[in-house]
Amino acid sequence: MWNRGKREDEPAPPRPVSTPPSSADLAREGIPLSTFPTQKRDDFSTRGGAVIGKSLSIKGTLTGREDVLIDGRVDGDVELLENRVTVGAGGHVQGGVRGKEVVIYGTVNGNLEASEKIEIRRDAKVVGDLRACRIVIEDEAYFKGNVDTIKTEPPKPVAAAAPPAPAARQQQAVASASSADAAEAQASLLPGEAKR
Amino acid sequence: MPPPPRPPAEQPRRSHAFEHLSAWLTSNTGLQVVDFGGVNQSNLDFLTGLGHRLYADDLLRAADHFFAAKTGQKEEERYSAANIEEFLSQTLDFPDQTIDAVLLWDTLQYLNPALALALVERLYRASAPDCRLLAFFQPASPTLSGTPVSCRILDESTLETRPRGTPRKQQTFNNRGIEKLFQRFQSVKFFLTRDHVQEVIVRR
Repeated sequence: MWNRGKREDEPAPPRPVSTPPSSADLAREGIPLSTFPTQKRDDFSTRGGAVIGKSLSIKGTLTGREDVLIDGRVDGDVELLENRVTVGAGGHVQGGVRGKEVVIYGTVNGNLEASEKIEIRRDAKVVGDLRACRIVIEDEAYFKGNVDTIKTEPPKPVAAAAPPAPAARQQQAVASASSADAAEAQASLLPGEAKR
Repeated sequence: MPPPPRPPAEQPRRSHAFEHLSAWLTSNTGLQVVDFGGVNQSNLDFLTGLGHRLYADDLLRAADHFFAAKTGQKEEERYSAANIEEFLSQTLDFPDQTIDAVLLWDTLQYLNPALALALVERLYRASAPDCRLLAFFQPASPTLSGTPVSCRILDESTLETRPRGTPRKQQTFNNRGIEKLFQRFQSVKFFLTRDHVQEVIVRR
């Protein structure tokens, strides 16, 4: 009681500056973490996307619609046709990999196929066939298999329609006349009336 | 500051044998080409740019890895006929008469003799009629050892060779020995370089 007055005279304690919760705090409270990493992982770009960590092992086909970084093991095919698939230095895929872009730093025993580009970086090990528009293989990478580059042909110019032959021209004129008559007959009908 | 001069071993050099081969490659499309010197970007771009299908493997590295794992103190035990057959089945798994061109570079000189013979025999079976093989043979070394080279195709007639790996035992082939090695093939054409490398084009 004798301290109450004194407490009222004391300045209010400073309000703590609000800080965002750390990932450890979130994990402790059971709040799901985002699948988009906010920190740079080794030398991979911060493109976002899913990550299969080093301790993870997946058996089966991996499909989806986002970029993926594989640092663990996948026994099965990886098919992300519209995205980038990266097999990290510690990653191991025992199966085929298909994507828009495929970048290998680790090990793949299977075929690689990309609609745009395949990159095999130094110290990577790939045993399987490659198929893409552009293929880059760094020195010191180990590769064994077939290489097929997809040739992209330039779009052909639209050719101007050639004038029809005389007989065909006459038939065309008859056809266009009858269609014009039909259109006129249709127009003469009252709205709601259909020609039977 | 200008870059340091490249060592002589990495200087580009003209290869008459490769020029001969690339003229034939350029006049054909859709060939199955096998490069046993390991893949590199230059060779990949050149060969696929001509419209050919490329199979690449580092044969020396694959052989070292395979036979090192085989039991046997003596080389003859590790390079037994059964082991050689197993290795070639894994490495040269091509149906008969399906390969149109083979780039052996200097690989044959650094393989075990029994393996080199078996490889050539297997290549004869796997190569299509009119198939061309390119092989290099370094001059005899007094130490009976040499360093394998990595060959990069710079253009239709120019190669860049770089030493790769450490010195190892090297087989010595004279012209007669090379002819005997490829005796089942239709013809062997020789090209001698200024530094006494024997380049050969072998035709099935």
